[in-house]
Amino acid sequence: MLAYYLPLIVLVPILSFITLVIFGKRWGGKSAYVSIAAVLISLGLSIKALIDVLGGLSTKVLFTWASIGSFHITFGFLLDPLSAMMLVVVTLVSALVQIFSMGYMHGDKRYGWFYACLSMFTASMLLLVFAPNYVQMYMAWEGVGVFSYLLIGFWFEKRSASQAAKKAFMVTRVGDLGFAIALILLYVHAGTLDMGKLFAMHFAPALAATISILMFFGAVGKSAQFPLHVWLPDAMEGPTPVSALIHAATMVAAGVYLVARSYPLFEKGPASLEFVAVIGTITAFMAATIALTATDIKKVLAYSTISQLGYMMMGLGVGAFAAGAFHLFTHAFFKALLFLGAGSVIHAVHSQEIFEMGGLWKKMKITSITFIIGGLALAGVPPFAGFWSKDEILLGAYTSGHTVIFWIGILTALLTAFYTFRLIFVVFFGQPRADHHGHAHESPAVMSIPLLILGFFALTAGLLGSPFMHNAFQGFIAPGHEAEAINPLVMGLSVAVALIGITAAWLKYGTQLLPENIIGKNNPVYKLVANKYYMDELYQYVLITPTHVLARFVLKFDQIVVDGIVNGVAKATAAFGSGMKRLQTGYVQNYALFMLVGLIILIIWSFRFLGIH
Amino acid sequence: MNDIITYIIFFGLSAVAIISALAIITRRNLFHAAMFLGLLMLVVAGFYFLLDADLVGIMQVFVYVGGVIVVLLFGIMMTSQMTNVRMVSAIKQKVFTILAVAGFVALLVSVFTKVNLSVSNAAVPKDTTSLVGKLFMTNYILPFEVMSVLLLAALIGAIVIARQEVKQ
Amino acid sequence: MVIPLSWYLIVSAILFGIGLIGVLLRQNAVTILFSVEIMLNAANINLVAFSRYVTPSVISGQMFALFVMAIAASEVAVGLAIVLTIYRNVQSVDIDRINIFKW
Repeated sequence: MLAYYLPLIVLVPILSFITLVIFGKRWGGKSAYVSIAAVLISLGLSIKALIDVLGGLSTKVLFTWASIGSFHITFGFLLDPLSAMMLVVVTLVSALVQIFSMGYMHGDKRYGWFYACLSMFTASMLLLVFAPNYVQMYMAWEGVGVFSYLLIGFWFEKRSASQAAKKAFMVTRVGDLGFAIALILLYVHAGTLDMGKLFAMHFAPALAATISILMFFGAVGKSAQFPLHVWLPDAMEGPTPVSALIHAATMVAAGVYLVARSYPLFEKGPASLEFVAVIGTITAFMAATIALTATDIKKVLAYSTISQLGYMMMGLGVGAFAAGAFHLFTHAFFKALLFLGAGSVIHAVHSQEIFEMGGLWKKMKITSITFIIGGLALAGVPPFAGFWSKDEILLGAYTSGHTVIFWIGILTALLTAFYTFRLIFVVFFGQPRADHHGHAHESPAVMSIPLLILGFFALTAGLLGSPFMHNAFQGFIAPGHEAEAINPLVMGLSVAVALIGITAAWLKYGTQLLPENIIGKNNPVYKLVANKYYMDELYQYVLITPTHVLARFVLKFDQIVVDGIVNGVAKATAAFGSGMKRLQTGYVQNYALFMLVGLIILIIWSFRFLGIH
Repeated sequence: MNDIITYIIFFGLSAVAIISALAIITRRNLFHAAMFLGLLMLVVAGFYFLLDADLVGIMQVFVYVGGVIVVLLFGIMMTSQMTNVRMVSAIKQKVFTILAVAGFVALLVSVFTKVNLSVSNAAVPKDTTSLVGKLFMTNYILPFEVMSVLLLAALIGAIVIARQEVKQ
Repeated sequence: MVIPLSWYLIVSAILFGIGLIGVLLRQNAVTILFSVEIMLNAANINLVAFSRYVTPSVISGQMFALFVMAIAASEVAVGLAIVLTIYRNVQSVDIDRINIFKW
């Protein structure tokens, strides 16, 4: 049975993009319907694909794109459990986000263009998910990068937005360089970039580890892992629905998806998995600490996203492949929910500063309830989605003997619960802190219904992989990587730290029990964390400033040496010309003299042929 | 004895030719220069006779001495201020010209002395005049006719160029 | 035949060189015309000498000399006409005054 409807999943959003590029300006507010209809069709087909996969289908539809000698570039549609799961997640979140945007972006002057970008982003992401070879994956990888760039800089009139877009594009490009090198190495050593063939081949462990780590650099850039995480918080300059779709649920998960998809390759070089685990752990912990001090609602969520992506990498790195993919799945829902909830809040109060909010519980019931559901899922409280997947990852780290990583993971879970509920208590409870709350009101239905749907998934998605369902999800995604048996110690510990974190946040922000400033604003640790470990400053002084110095040097070199050579050639020619013009005396006799000299030279030269010496 | 006379004639002609040629290019007075040119033409005619080229020699006397020189003299006399022109060019032109010409002549002389020219001892035709006449009407008929056209063109051209513009 | 061929050639080369100096150095257009005549005659001597020494029975060299003479005659006619025209226009035959080709 061949699934020829698969290309349609990608083609329909592309058609929507083309239509909106042409007619988006004229249609204005009606553009949304085209895009939403397209993504709903994709969603329907994706669900059909998922059902087919559940029925045992695993297929690959291939087209040859270009043939250069013996080198064939193909593109195709790989359908297996992992891609089917991603298809549904991407199209579902995309559909909900696009519906949400109808309310959020209402009245924007580039409404049509916004939906065109969302459509094409969705298509690129689906193409990435479908990729059966690395060429297509790389192409789609760059495609999502481009549309992420366009959407972050959607309000490009704002200088900070265009700067953030550039930063996101360039920082991820650093990682992509590693990915590109990995692909070149793969092609040189294996002669193919088809995943199926590559995973069946034998590689020396060192070579496989090198390639995998280089490939992981691409994931580091895309999934905002340490040390290339700096772009994601800035990317919050984009519209909030974009943050929900691209920078929470889908694109940043592409890095995780790449590692998950290439897992057989990583397994051939086990050192690379250790590397992935260490980077993931560092990222998870560091981002969680920064999130503690962030005061911008979207920045808190951005650092939380980085931290959760770190968790996924940690899970993949310690060998809990299914747990990593599971966390990717659950995180997509609850983080999209949190971002959309934040968008709803921002839409209501026109501010992003959490200490200017407060008491929104009374005014925005649906937003508050769904946001708290998302928060509980993120904090890892059972039975919400995040608990089951996070617990799986921690369990994986514990059983595989990565003790340090396990304890850091537990600590990060504590921090996660704390900063999540700090956000919730500050934003939704207590007294309003600024006067603009008088007009705060619940968002329209197009915004609240997606919240409810996502809330439902945040509540239930985790159950798919829970022991109550016999770990159905893990068995589906990774038949070779069955979930570990329940470990009461790990589970208990993870529940305990989540509750401790929530309680601490309640004590600090929900009541007046704790003093105002336990840690002073001038505490060096606080300063270090609040300044994001000075990573941006480090890049500024280590990379950007020297680059500017080098650029200025190159400019001077160009102006003095290169231009000097060019101008020198011109000047030499002019000088030669003005020197030679003196030969043009205008006197016929001079010219005749030169003719005579020429004649003499010719005669002497002709001696060789006449045989005279 | 005959040889010696031939030598004397040759060297005499050569000496007169070179001296008169030098005189032509150094005389400031154009009338004198024209006279020396006539002398040179006569000497060259002498060379032709020495080389058994009777008709060419006679033609040299007729055409050059009798025609060209007379035309030149008319021309000189028609233009009052043509004489007494500044004679000397720029010193640089002078030095380089003399060097170049000396080099050129030396080159030619060295070639003429070094190259072994194959000299034929075949008999010289007794009557070159009738032979030239025959050749003009046979082998050289085309150049002969072209020459007549050229002379006509030169005749008309010279008149057109030199004609005084009649002012209305 | 007592006089070697090369002697004629040398004499003609010297005459040619003198004519050349005249052409290259004299300012007077008429003198230049004279010098050209010297050069033509030098060339003619060559032609006739070669004809006499190398191909005595075939007098093609003499034929060429005759053609050269005819050309020389027409050249003098045209050249003198040009000199007269220049003289009428610029009241001089100093070729330094006729230098519109100068840079």
